[in-house]
Amino acid sequence: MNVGLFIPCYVDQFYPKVGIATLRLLESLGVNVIFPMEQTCCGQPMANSGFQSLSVGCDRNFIRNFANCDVVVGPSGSCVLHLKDHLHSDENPAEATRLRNNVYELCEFLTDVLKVSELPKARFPHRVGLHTSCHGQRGLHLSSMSELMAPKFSKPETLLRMVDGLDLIQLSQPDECCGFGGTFCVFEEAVSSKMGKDRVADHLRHGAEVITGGDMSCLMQLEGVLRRQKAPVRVMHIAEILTAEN
Amino acid sequence: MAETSTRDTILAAIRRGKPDLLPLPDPIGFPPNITPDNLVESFMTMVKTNGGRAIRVSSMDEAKAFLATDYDLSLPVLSHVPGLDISNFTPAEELRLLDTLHLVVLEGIVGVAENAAIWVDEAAMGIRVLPFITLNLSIVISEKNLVGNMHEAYPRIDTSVGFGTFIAGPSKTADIEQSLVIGAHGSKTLTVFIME
Amino acid sequence: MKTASPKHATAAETFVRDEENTDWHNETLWFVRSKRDRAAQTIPEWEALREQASQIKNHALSNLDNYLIQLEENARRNGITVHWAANGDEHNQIVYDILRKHNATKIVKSKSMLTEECHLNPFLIKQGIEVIDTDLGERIIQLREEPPSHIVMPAIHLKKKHIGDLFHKHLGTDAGADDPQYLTEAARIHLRQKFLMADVAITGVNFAVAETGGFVVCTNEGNADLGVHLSKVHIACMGIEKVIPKAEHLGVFLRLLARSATGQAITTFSSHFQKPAPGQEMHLVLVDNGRTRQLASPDFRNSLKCIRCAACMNTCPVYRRSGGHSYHSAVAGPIGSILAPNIDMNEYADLPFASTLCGSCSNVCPVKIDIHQQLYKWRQVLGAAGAVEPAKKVGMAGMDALFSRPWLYRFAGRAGRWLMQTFPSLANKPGLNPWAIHRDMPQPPEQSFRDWYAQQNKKTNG
Repeated sequence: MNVGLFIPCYVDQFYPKVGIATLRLLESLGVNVIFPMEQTCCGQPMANSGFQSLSVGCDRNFIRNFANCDVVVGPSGSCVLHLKDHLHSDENPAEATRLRNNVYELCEFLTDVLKVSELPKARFPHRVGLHTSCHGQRGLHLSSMSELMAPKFSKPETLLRMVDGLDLIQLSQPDECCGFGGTFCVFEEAVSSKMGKDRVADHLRHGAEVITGGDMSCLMQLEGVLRRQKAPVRVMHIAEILTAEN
Repeated sequence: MAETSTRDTILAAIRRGKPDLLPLPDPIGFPPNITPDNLVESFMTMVKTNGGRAIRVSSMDEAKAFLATDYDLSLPVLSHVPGLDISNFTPAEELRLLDTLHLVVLEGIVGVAENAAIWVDEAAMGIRVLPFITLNLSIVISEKNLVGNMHEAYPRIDTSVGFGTFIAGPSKTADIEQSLVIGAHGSKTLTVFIME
Repeated sequence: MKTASPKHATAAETFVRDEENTDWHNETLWFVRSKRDRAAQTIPEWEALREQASQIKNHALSNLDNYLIQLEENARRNGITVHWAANGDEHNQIVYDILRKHNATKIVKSKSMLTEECHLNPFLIKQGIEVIDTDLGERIIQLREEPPSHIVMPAIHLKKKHIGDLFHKHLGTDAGADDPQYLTEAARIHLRQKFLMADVAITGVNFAVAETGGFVVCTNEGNADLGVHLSKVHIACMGIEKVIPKAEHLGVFLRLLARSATGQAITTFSSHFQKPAPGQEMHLVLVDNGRTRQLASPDFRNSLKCIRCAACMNTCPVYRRSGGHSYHSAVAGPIGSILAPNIDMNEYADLPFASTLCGSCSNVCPVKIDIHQQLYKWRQVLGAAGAVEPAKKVGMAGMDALFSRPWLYRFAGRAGRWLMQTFPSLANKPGLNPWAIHRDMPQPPEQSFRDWYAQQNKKTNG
């Protein structure tokens, strides 16, 4: 199985360490990873702003890049959800459909496809707050949702529980949105920032040393607030924690 | 004439725009989560949750004794419950005069254990405004008329009557800062007698 | 085409500026959401119940013409006069004609989002008619001369102190008194007189039943019933989407409505109106006002399933932190944001963007409207219609140009990171970058992931 590593544009530019951790994690689990060098963006920023119609070039580039991959895996629930729901091609609809059906968020790929049941080397002796990202949760169903009357589960949490020494904290509102919301974070700056502040406060109140999650965009939002507050708390993508060995 | 054409325009627009016929679920509703031996207890708990008071009695005299203790029965009282003869008030034609009513006692037709809603219809009220205009309301319901949930209630009520209502507690509001206040516009208290 | 200003964002910014009040508003509504969760947890079949409700509504919409005809026939047989209105103006005129026929000058009205949508109150008041809203929350905002900020709790944006001052001014309560019990009692006495003097009562409709020709009105306060049963004339106003096939279906909806709305097992009064009382007149006004247009749109028609419980507002993290008035439409929050653009696409072009698309609204919806998906779809419609700011469109076209050319993307990424490293104060300047008003920008790394990856490969291969 050829796994195409999809590194979202903002992770590529701002958080290369997340890409590196994702690659190392997959390779450590014996996966044959390909990183198509000409990949860029999933097209979500345009689509969420009302211009899905303008993301044609973006979609074409994505399909061209991942044509040789059996599956695509990316460390971002939001970008993966966008691809799953909206990747489109008039020229090659069959290929677009194939990719839509074979794109995975990192955690679900680990738990559902690789069926990872232990991470013997992983060690991270810290108090960690898990930020549940909306698109991963409510879109990709990576975990149960507080609104639904259904059995509880969480794929990211299952993985974090495999990490030695990790102390997962409980939050008052475990699945409240962080307020990033793509272009919402600038067009609705006031509400977006307030949501970010409130989310950070929940983690701080419960003694988090590190806030983690499966979506770097949410974590970028929380990091922005943490750094502005000069709070002694870091954000780390879940791939970084699952590959931590100290 | 204008109305007829509006009607036809709306109906034509619906016909143009509606999707193909979608099926109704079958069956409708769910079996109750409350077992028959728990009906009374669940019902009574929910009456309290709704802000009312539930009392189990074995005779009308017992109910009457409770009412006589709790309310001044020399004030205007109207009972439409056979056997609970405490009326001292003859309603006049003018509905506004009912504003002085201190206590109204009505017969409940069906009570729902899941939410303590009690169906009272026009026949049981006599005058529609009675349960709403009175300061205090009491409903007498026979234990055998309790059901588990709303799905069980509907087949047992006559929805062709002119008016009927499910009453679940005294009137209430939380419109000021979400603070629950019992006694908004309607009755300020509800006492439910469950007759064995 | 005229383009809309970012109204919600501007109003929200003003709202959020009072952080203490924002926290209070957020927590108050979250409290209601929590009550909803607890109520839903008592029903093991909750999700299946939602599914049934959704299917009943979908079915009713797919046969709407026939159910409306059946409703009309049965209602007329019951002695109810049925009227049809194409829009808000026709609706208001129908109501006014009934009032004129009876020389009515004093009206009591219980909550109806439809009449709010049609702006009935201002219309009637202009004709010299006294219209008193009798729901406590609605009376409060009526005295303050502002619109409701929430469809179930119209005065949820106000603190008891505001209401104490308001009642002191209008109802003569003690200065500084703000005990909810005391204020509610004052409103009761004030409104009891209005009930007793009213000529006509106007109510909304929660559900109309085709099979029986009747309709159901739900309240906790009993205000709809007091008004109706004391008046010679009852006018009930409903959107055409409120009709359901059978009385037994009410069992499904009444189990969901109050639990979703306030966490109560059922509203205090669920009144089934079938026939006018002896000597009384009963009117039912069926209103389209854009609903047939919404029905004709496969993407948006299922918004017509809405039973107006407001669960989507209580759960919405944006609504909770921006207040109902920031939505500047009769129905606020997520559901309002997918209903309003159908009424006026330009006026409400900002609303589908007042969301992070987190999806919580769709999950709490008792009739399973895919609200957040419709928000996304409205964005596409608005984008295509040119109803969003032109600058945004240029920006998005530029973005696609960037992302479809990997070399340009690589260059821009490098240049961007270099700029941020060289001039960090520029990137963090709030005037240039709205992000930076309350948040720091990420620290740009030396190298992108792909640069690192290329280097690694060179090492291994070289």
